[in-house]
Amino acid sequence: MTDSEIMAVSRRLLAPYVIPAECPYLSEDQQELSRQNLEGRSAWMAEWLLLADSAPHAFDITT
Amino acid sequence: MKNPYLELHNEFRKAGADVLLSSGQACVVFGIAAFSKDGDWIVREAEASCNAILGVLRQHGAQYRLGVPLHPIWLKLGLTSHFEFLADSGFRIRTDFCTRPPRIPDLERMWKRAMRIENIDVVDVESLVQLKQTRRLRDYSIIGALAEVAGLEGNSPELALTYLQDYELLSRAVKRWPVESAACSRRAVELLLKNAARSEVVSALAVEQDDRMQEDQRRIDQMQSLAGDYVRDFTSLRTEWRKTKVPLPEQHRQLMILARGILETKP
Repeated sequence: MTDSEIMAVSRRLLAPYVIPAECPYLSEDQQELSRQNLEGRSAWMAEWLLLADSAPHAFDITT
Repeated sequence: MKNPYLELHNEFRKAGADVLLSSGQACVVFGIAAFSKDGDWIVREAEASCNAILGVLRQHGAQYRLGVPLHPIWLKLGLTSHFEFLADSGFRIRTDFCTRPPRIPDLERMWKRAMRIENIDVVDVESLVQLKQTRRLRDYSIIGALAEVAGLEGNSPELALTYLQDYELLSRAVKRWPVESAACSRRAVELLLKNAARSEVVSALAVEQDDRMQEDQRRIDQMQSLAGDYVRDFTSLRTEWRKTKVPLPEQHRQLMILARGILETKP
């Protein structure tokens, strides 16, 4: 692929897009995520981090 | 609330580091992963970029995790640097850095094709796929997903034919792009063109995946063979750092001394 082709393909994924419903690799969560813009994707990730950090096995680097 | 890794990325940029988001956070940015437990960056192999990152991490009270000093002398061997800290938001942040990511055939080309938009710098999709050909099985779902959305859906036959990971979608790609398929040297594609049995195609895909995983394992084994007593010595050093709350610049200085042994044992 040429540089401009791969850059165009990459740029498309940075904007909201639709993952086909029958995609064998990705969950409904990921299908919803792909429809978000970058701001929405950033907020989504922060939400997941909150959930992960509240898990009982969360690692504390201060100990 | 924002992704703290993207905020950290902006801090690196503002400090003057030339960095690209890669691996898990790149998947988040591209919309195919909801979450990644750490942040991976590819760094321009220059002291200025390394020092800028160290400056930002020092401000956050970061500590070294097991890895080499963040300095081109070690990074140019393909080795990686790792840190962690607790962010003001309470998130545990883990950061990984390299300058020579595995399986990228042309580093300068990767830098040239990087996406730089909206305060985000991220590797291109093809480089991300190459990076993700690791020893971990779960990464191949990500590769398949990228090949589907960027290749099959994005009308990019080369990405689809080279990286799709399952029978159904690959056979659809072969039917859609017969000319490109005929020029593709991938075993599973060749079998589909010959109307081989599904089991043969599936086997070819599985063997290809396993070959990639073994290649990555061999690469990691080779890296670990450079380490010698480094892991043990690092663990002792880190225990001392935690006892006496050694700041990052001093950790960096001490680690540079410790890691000289790696340079002496390099192949």
